[in-house]
Amino acid sequence: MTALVQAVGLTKHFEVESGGWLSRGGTVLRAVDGVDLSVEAGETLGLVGESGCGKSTLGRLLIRLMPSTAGDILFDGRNITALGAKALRPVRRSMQIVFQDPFGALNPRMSVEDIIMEPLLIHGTRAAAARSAVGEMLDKVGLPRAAAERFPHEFSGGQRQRIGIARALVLHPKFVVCDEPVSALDVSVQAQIVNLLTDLQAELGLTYLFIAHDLGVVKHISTRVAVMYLGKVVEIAEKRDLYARPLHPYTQALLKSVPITHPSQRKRGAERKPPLSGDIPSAIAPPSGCRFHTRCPHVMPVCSQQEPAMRPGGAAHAVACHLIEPTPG
Amino acid sequence: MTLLSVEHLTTAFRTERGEVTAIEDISFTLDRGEVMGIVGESGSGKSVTALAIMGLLPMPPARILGGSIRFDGTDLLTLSDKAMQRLRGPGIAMVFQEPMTSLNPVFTIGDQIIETIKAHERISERDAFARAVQMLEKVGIPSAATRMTDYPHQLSGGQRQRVMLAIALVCRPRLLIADEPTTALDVTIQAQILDLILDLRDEFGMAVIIITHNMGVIAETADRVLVTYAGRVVEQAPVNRLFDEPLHPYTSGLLACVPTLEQEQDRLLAIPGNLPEPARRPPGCRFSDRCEHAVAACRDGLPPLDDFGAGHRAACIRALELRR
Repeated sequence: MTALVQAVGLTKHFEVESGGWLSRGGTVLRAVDGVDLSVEAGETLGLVGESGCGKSTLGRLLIRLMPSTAGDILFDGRNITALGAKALRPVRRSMQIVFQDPFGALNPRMSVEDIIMEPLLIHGTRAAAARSAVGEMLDKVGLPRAAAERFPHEFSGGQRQRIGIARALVLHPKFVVCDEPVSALDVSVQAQIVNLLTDLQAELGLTYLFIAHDLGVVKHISTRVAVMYLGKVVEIAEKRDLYARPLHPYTQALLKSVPITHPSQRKRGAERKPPLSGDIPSAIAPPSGCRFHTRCPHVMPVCSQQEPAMRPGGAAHAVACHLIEPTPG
Repeated sequence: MTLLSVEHLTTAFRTERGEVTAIEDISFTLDRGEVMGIVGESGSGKSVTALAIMGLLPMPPARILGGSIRFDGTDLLTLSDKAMQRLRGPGIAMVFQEPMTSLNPVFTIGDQIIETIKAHERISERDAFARAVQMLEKVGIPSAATRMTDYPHQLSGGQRQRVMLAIALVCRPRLLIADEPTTALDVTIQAQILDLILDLRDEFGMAVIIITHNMGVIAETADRVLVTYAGRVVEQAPVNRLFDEPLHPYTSGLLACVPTLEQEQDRLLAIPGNLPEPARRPPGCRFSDRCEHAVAACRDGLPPLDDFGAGHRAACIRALELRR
């Protein structure tokens, strides 16, 4: 396996002014704060975490949709962090994104054909060739060819997401960031889109970063899964290993929070208590040491003083937690 | 003891394409202290049912074509606006999906809770303040007294939903309607809010209608379940029976298409097609054009909601045959 996309110490700080008119200078929101991560060619890397943990920002940084504050992004072994707009353009063909909201992500004034062929035109394909590519893409995503003449409002949420997928794939990218691609869809339609993404991956040899908060969907589609908390990746492992043997207390709590699948599993009394209390802290002033220590059921004195480094927790399994002994050297 | 009984409720909305029904012939009863889950996706009519019970349907464009809603012996559809308003709060309260748009952004959360209390009770400002703080503590807002002066935008999504619950519960309603109360929230916060609703049910003995598209939320909370599709009830059953022995293909589909943490499969079982828009519902059984078991007879007429015993009803003409 070789890494198609790599992040090294990747960081994104947003300047926010939340101090009111008396405070001086900007306050910094640490959305992504020193992430090392690699996405292997051909895999689906699931990325999970609560809202505000920085997972969408990380996805956008990796495909250079927004500038990073520090760190490096490597694509196919090449450092693309500082590439200018012109040098970046050929790389962009290979990196695309599918957005969460199929209603907001499509221009309501453009026909489906125009929407899907726009990326081709931008990258210099002639109109006639682009138009025939649109037909092929519609077949691939399971929409009738007649859809080309119609407008986004004529389609349901699931069909719109198919249009969004066609637009992302028309340039034959290698890497696609899927940012919560099914969470805005009706439950009975979600499975269709998940199956479509799986089929297209096999057919076109795609590599996915699959961002979602639904741990069931992530388990189904992913090869490996990374867990983020307040701008940091706290655990990453092969998916079966992560779900069967979560090592980070945060991962354990996330998995325990997933609703049961049958009423017979219902817990009563003290057993019923939710595994985590309170909200995710602010990324403007993240807790010292391990960022999870304010909510962690196993917190120790060292946790608030020292930030735990990533350490191996088994084969192809890494975790950032003081409970796990770091291996020397 | 029956607290709420909805019978043959049918409502319609005026649209550009003429009048279309939002819900048709919805009937169910709810006992004190019971949790009823209503499952449905967009356009199923689940929120319209809730708004009709609350007396909050915008009329026009909405219109109630028939049926009755009896709450504690009173027919709600014949109540005056004023009488209905008195009932909201101490009688029936509701929490909505969007905690941001449901709170007034220009008033503090304390003001909004106190306003609710004073709308229904003669109470001094000081006592109302104390009750509001107490309620915020109950729903798990830390340092409640100091948060009373916060505005909604200063709170996180989970905290806003807690405040919505505080407003809904401060007059001790006998019925709480929660419309997708956790859909906008993370799983960790969802677990907390569901736990809180069940705790308050145990403490106050209130009945709860929980509306959701998430079968996991139903599995966690409901005693009985109503499954709705395109404006009609397609199945109703006690919760264990529904999960063990679903009789309608739509219910089976919903249970099967969501990937769980336990199972592993190469492909998800998908329900083909899309939800029909109200003006484009297929003839006969509305699920027929997406149903793998549909036969010609399914398109002939609306299937009746047949009784299969033990409180289990399903509207599918092939239910008995498919059960095996």
